[in-house]
Amino acid sequence: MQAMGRHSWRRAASIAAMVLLAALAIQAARLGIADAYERTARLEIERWGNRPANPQNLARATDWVTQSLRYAPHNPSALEALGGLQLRQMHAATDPQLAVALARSAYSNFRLALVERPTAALNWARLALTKLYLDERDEALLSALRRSLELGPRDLGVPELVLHLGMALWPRMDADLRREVVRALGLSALRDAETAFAIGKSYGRFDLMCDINALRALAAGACEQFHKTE
Amino acid sequence: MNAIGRFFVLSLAALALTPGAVLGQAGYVHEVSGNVSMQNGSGVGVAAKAGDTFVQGTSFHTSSDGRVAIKFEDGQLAALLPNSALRIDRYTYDPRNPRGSSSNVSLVRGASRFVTGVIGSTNREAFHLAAGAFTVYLRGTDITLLANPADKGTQTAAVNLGGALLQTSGGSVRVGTGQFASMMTGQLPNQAGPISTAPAAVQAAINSLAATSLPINTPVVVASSARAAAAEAQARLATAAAEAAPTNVELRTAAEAAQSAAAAATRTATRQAAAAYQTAILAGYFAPATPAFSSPTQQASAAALPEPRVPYLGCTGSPC
Repeated sequence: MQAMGRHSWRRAASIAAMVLLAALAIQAARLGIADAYERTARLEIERWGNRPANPQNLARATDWVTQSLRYAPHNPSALEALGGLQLRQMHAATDPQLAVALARSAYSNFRLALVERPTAALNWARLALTKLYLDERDEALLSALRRSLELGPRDLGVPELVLHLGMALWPRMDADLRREVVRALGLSALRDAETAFAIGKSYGRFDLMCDINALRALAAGACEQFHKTE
Repeated sequence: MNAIGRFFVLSLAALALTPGAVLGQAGYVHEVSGNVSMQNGSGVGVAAKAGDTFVQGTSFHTSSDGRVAIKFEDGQLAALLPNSALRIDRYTYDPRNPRGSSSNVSLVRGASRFVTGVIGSTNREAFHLAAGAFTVYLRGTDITLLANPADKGTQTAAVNLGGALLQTSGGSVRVGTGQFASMMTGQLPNQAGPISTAPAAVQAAINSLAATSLPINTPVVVASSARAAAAEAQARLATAAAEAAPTNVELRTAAEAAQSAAAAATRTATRQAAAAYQTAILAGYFAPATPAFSSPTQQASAAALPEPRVPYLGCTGSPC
């Protein structure tokens, strides 16, 4: 009787272990499939670089990321990738309503990604940028910008986005945030002076650039002109 | 026919080629799609079609599916998106007198792209665009204006090529190539920034207008160019009908006839436009710069995929 009881307990334990293993195997398979889809999309996106993507390629990459999210719905890097693809689609859209809908969707994907990975500085900057695209120049935008600056002012891509956001929102920013933006300009100039100069020039902010050594040479003529008019 | 008779016939022919301004024509409708109406002053609106001519004081209204591209005698171009309204307040063009020519156009609502002709390139002070509380003084060639009176009276100007000075009662702001600036009624304009940071709806309107196929921005003889535009529209319709019924010989014949008529009308219009351009240049007009997205490759790619003019933002580093 006792032996039989032990036997059935062992049987139950082994069934439970098998179920657990099967569940783990299924989960691993799901994550593997999600990862495969995401990697495929990522390779495709890297192939485009900063060039505008063909709409078919864009749709295909979006489909891969969406498939990836079906198997791993909370994967922050897939959510970020989907948001980035939606911003690319927004840039190429010709229908204003569609463009706003894409920006709105990108915003919610960046938000979901930040729930999973709240320390991603680049994603905070993207969230702020998406608010700008939605024409919502509010406190939430400024606080996303602040978070980005706190978490990773030197992270790849962050200084450039911070520069764009800072210069676009300059009149709305307080003195601390302005100081941070000027710091990001200096940092960006040390890393890639030409890009930093191009961003400053696109807003006509020679007043900020002429005080930064790394930019003074590039902005020489404009700085002279600026000092004369000043 | 004796010499006097021949002289009379030639005089009538010359009159037919007289500049449109003398006959009161400011320009013609180059291309229309969907529902577009044109209205002269407070008169009754009529449906606009390719080849219609218009005079100063005319307004164009596009419905939710309407788009229109118009060309003025001096080569100036305007393209309107759906749900837009444009008014030609004043337009005088004298091919022999640059100082005596002027153009005042207002965007009442919606989105429009403007490309300057010889008035804008020669007599900048006499070339005015208005959108709500904005007055735009163009210092270049190609600009997109958006006026949204329903949304706090927001107005936006984006420069595709050249530069612009946006003037309001509160102040002014300079906008260069690839930049945009916005303002709301009663406020100072925002500082100019790159188009890549413009609101999503603004970027989409700019893309949509960039994809519009526009003719070259040099002077024309309105009557002959209008005839060519009408003939080309007719040929497109006939060709589409023939393609829809490939076995119908009558439709194919009609399409071929329409195409050759359009080609003949276009040849005549091109010849006369070249003469009009030469007249303008000899009179002291400056050649207008070619608008943005104007090369055949750019136009073709723009139609398939409008490209933003500045690198994508938000896609730097991982994962984009």
